[in-house]
Amino acid sequence: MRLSKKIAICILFMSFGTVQSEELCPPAFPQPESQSKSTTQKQSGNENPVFVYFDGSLSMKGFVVDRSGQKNLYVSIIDDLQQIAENVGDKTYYHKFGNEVHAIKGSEAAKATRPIFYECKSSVAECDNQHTAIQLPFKDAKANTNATYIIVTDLFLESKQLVGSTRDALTKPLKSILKKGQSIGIIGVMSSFNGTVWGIPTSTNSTMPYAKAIKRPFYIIVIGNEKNINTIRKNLEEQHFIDPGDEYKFALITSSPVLKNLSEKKIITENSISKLSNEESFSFQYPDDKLPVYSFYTEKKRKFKLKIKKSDYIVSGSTGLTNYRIEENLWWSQELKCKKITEDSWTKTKHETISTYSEKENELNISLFKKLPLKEFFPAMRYFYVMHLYADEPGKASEEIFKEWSIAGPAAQAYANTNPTVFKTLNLTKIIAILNAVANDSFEPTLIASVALDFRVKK
Amino acid sequence: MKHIIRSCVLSIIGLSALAIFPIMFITWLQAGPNPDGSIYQFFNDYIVHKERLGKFDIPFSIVAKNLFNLVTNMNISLLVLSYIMGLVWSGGSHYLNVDAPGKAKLYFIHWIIFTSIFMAIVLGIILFFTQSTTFASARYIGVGGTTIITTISLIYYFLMYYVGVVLGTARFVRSSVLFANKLPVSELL
Amino acid sequence: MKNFVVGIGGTGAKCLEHLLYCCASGLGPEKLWIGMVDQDEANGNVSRTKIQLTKYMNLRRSLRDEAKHDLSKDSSLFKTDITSNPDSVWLPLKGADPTLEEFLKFQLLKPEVLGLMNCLYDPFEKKQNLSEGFRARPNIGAAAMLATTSDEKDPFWSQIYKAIDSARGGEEVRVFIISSIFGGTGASGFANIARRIKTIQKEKNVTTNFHLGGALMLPYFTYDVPEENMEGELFAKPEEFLDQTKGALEYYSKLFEYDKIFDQVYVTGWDPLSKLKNFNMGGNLQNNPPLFSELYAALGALKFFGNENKISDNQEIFHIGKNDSNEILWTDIPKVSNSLNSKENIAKLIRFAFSYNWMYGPALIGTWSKIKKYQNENWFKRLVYKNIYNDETKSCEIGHEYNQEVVLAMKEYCEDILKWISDMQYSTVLSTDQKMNLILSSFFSEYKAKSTSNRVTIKEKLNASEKNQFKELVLDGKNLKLLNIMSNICYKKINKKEQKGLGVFMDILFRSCEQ
Repeated sequence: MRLSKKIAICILFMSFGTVQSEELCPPAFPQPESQSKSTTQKQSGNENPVFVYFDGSLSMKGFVVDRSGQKNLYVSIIDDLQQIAENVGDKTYYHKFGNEVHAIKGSEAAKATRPIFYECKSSVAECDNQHTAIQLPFKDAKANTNATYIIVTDLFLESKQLVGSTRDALTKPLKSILKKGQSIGIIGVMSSFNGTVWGIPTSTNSTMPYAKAIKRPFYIIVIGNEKNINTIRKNLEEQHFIDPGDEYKFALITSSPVLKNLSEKKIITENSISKLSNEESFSFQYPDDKLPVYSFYTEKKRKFKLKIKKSDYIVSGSTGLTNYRIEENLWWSQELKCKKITEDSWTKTKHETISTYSEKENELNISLFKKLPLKEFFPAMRYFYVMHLYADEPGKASEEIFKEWSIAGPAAQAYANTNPTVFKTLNLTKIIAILNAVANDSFEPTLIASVALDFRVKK
Repeated sequence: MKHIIRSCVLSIIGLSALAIFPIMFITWLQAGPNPDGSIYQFFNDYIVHKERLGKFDIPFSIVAKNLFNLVTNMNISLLVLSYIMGLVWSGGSHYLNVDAPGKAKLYFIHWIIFTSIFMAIVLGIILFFTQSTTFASARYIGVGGTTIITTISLIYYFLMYYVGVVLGTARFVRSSVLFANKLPVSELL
Repeated sequence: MKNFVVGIGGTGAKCLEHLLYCCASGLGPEKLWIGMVDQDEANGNVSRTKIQLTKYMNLRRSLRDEAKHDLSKDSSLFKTDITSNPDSVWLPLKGADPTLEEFLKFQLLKPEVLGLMNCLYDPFEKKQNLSEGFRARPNIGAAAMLATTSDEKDPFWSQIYKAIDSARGGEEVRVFIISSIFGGTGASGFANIARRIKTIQKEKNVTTNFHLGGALMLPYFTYDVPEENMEGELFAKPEEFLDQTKGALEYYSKLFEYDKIFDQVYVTGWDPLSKLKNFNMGGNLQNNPPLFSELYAALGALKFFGNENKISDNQEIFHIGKNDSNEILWTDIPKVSNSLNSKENIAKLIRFAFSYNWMYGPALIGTWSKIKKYQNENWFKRLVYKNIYNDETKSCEIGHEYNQEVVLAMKEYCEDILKWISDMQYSTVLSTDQKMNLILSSFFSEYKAKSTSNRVTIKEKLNASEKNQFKELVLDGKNLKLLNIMSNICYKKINKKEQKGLGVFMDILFRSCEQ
């Protein structure tokens, strides 16, 4: 008698259990566009060279002359550059550039920490230290997508270099780089300076020098895959930017700021929608490894929010995203049990907007059914809702990051006349904006996450 | 006692005269109305929340049956209520202490209160059926539909109740019911 | 059938008053002629009965008029068609201040007859002014009545002669005499008038269809005689009543044994005697209150007149009394016949009087502008408006003078009914251990025992709580409320064919006063 009672109770619990794990029978819905993000490059031996370009312009000389009382990060970093390069690649090739790019040996590269590297005793016409043709290394970078390009420069570009064909010369290779899935990391470092800043534009269309700066930023531009860029950044942070007074800035310019598809990576869990797991007949599953499905039976007063951490899907240091897009569909079925549901059972609704999103500093909240509250739903029906969240437009965070170190061309003379001790970089934000613009042009909407809800609404 | 029974019979006659239409309506709803018929279309056009159903792409034919059941149940409840209240007043009017000339009209207040209670219950029933969560098909009814159902039901069932009480109220209390004293003096009434 | 009732003396008149109210309630026969015999013309009781008789006849005439207001033949209210002589009282000795000496013409009598008369009557008795009655001297009264009853032309006696003639013609005639066995006029008149009637019957050779009945009131009340100013006065002394009664009963015993004068005799009395507060020797101040035992005499008369009363050839003597306890109950009131329940009819009449006097009468009094506020009420519409409506003038004429006369007359009569029953209840048990709770009267009336003319005062208006006590008005356990009355008057069927005018309302209201 006792045994039979126990068996009966077991069967009862099992039947409850089977009821609880609601069977899925979703409607046929189109899959989102497959997103192939070429993020990882094969890191094997001979295919990962590192090309280093030193800006040989005269303005760079001041970085290698110590200034008492000031920390010279330029020298220490250049000294370490070989090591840094070897961390990301197998072979390092050095170059010096001005108006042209010259390959140099390692021994010559080692002189980059000495003033002689930047001096030229020949005539002005013969010396290639008057001008920074930054587009040349970029052009080289277009060629090899497996390589990592490190450009060390003060990025002190004249306005005329940022317009017209010169600009095009800069943007075209960048476009190609970004399109191939490469990214551009800009590490700005504030270092001591003891020398002259040349090429400050004046109001009379000429230039003027400035020799009173004790500090100036220089830039390490890394072109390559995000991983290498981040490795270099990390090395620099760990080894060189260790004192509290060390100033540096970093921006990553990429055509794909989205790190990963959260659904595919199963970052979306049952707790991603808070308190949903408390609902009646709740279950959560990844039936096809790509789409998380929440099943539940809820009150019409309920509101749901899907919370996603930005750090989960945005490339760290990138410009981020300014705009998202939600693609969503809703179906209803009069049949409630999967046994009775056929393909024809589901009817798609005509709703255009169902959910909305809102951004906070560190997270993105998707208010599910914000535009179509559950009280609008009819009881005694089964619903299936599929939502795809896309990154629709990249952000402009990097311009803000470097704004502090930038001085516009027309304001440069006046700025110099104030005798600043920290001399800003000419047209820096413009350069960043150009880079961002190129990145934006290359940007393609990326799927961040997908979510499905299989539910019924109580009376 | 025989006077009370007489009053109740008259009240039932009055109530039944107007109950015919709701009964016919209920029968028609349960029999399954013709989808091309005017009343079916009326429900489709004015009663249900057409926009919401349209957004969900839910055809009226799916919700019709449950909606008709809801309306049927509501009308049955209202019919029963009207009969009960009509009979309660008709029978109870014999116990109102109208023991002197001129006293009957003082009970007009009582009738007003009783009728107000009746109307409040009618409204409560209508709202229970059309607004509460007890009936799933109530969600199909739009604001306009609720207004139409409420207005028609309030008016019709008040009329039904009124005819019942006009005929059924004890003769000596007729002055308490609005216009009931205008009834002709007859041994039948 | 022709019915005649004669009340002799003050007691007879009082019994007739009860009889009138009983006839108003529907206990009486179809037709009845009423007459009174009293030497005391101004006697208060006789006057009161005369007034009541006039009111009854006038009201009945107004409400049984086929042209205007008709209660209909089926209505019990004022059922009996009561008639009387224009002067309903017969005085044996007429003239101002008659004396026995003058009347019998003592100065012309033969000496031997004169001697006999001197033996029989003392000087006071011979010279006593008889205008206020025979002062409890039946010997005087008997002589006076015997001397005058033979006048066929007398309006009173002509009725008796006609009655006997009718009997000879084949119509059944019943004559009933009511008087007291004690006192003056009654004691002297009962036997003598009865024997005189029998003599006339024999003279006219009427052997069938004529029946004579009588109600004999044994002592039932007493009073205190004041000592001052009574020396030399002849008056009825209550302490002599019992002796007189004893003597009279012995006489009647012998009389009934040897001579069948009455077909039926109803005897009643009362113990303990009701105590009257006022003593008056005669005249209009002798206005004694109605007492319960007099009701027995009235009911006896009505029983005598009933169709169900089969009068046998043998003389029948009936006596009645109340229950042995000190409480007088409704069950002490006997039925007039199997179909006429005295208690129910009298109770109905009392309730009718109350509802009319305070509830409906006031609503019908006044001009149309005052009355019309009731015109939408069902009772008014079906009972009054429809029946008083004039098609020519297109208006309801309830406010007109001739209708108002009837309305007011009925209100006055209802007040009289209430006074009568209240007075009877108060006065019968006053200063005795007895209790009479036939009705609850304290809430609508005030009683002053010593007042002669207004012992009972009826309140003009009653407040709501007093009106609510209506259900306890008649203590017969019926619990009939004013609400029931109102309901009944709205639902009782109207006899449309025969009832007319105010007769409709009056009859319906009367019929509504029973459960």
